[in-house]
Amino acid sequence: MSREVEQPPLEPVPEGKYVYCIIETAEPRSFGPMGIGGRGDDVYTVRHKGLAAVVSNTPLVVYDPTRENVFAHEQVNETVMREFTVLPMAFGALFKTEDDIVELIRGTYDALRDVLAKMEGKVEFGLKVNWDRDKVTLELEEKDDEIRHLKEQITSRTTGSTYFARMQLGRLIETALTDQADAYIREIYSHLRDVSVASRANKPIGDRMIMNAAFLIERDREAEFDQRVKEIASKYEGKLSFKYTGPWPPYNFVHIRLKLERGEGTTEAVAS
Amino acid sequence: MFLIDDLLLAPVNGFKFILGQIQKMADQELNDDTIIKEQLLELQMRKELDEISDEEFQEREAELFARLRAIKMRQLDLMHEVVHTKDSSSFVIEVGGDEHTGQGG
Repeated sequence: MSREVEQPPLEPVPEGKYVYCIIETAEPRSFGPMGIGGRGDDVYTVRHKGLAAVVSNTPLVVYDPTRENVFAHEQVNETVMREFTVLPMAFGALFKTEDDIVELIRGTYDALRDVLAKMEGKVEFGLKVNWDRDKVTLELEEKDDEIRHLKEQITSRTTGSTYFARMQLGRLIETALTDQADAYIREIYSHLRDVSVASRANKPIGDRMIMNAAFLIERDREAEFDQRVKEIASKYEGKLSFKYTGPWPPYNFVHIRLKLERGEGTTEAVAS
Repeated sequence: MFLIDDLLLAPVNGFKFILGQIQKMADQELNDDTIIKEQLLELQMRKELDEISDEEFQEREAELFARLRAIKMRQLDLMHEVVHTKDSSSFVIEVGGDEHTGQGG
């Protein structure tokens, strides 16, 4: 049996601060021993004139966005959002000292206030829609005359090649499926539009997903939104499956990332 | 069977498209981390759907992160500091999404 030899670090890793989000609070706060890194570091606030960064102590090591680390990051944000409107920080933001954090808040103070006001009382919901492609295809084959005829032709033909007819059929079905997916997506959006503040379409994951969207909702309209999702889900039961999650911090609508200044001028472009 | 069917049914000009996609993917895989990020998402999705075991998941996740890190290193080999200070960095606030104002739009 081999034994793992744990190597003690040659020199202690220096300590720093991990930042989760920015909130508005006049009072110092603690959110419990749930800091990233698994040491049970306390999550607390570093404040500047009514704004605060929610942080915990951490050794200055690079955090890979593994499931565990991302979970720790998100769990803090979800805890904080129960009481505050949060502006989430991009994953992995490490700072040397509290003073550094205060200075960065000072530097973007007005913009932070603006965005906080915009996000006040709003939460995010995620909506992923998967479809049963085979079922929808079957339905299209019955509904679409052109497809049905071609299919009959292919199956009834006893001699000769069906190669080109089959290609033609494949093309028709592909187009019909794309149109059908677009129609579903349009209908879902329009059904949810007037109970939400904003939406964002993300790229579907995997080949069963036709829609992967985030919606920004007023907290006090949550029940309404919920109701609408249920309506549309029951309408397409069996064909579409809805995966509905939240409330989340508004990850898809605002986040704060860090830009490195290189020397005097900044070289990095600011992506929108 | 499914794959073969799909290929047989693919339109002729679809073949060119597929070749183009493969080329594009090969290019991207070298220079771009989005593909790996998508693979990570898909992996997590498959885990959630119980299509793969915990062990498989962790193995594959570690592999993908190693590749991601290699890309990051290449992109940021000049960046010896991942720890931010008031002198090195500033906040950038990014907002996104389509606002639902009024009808249509």
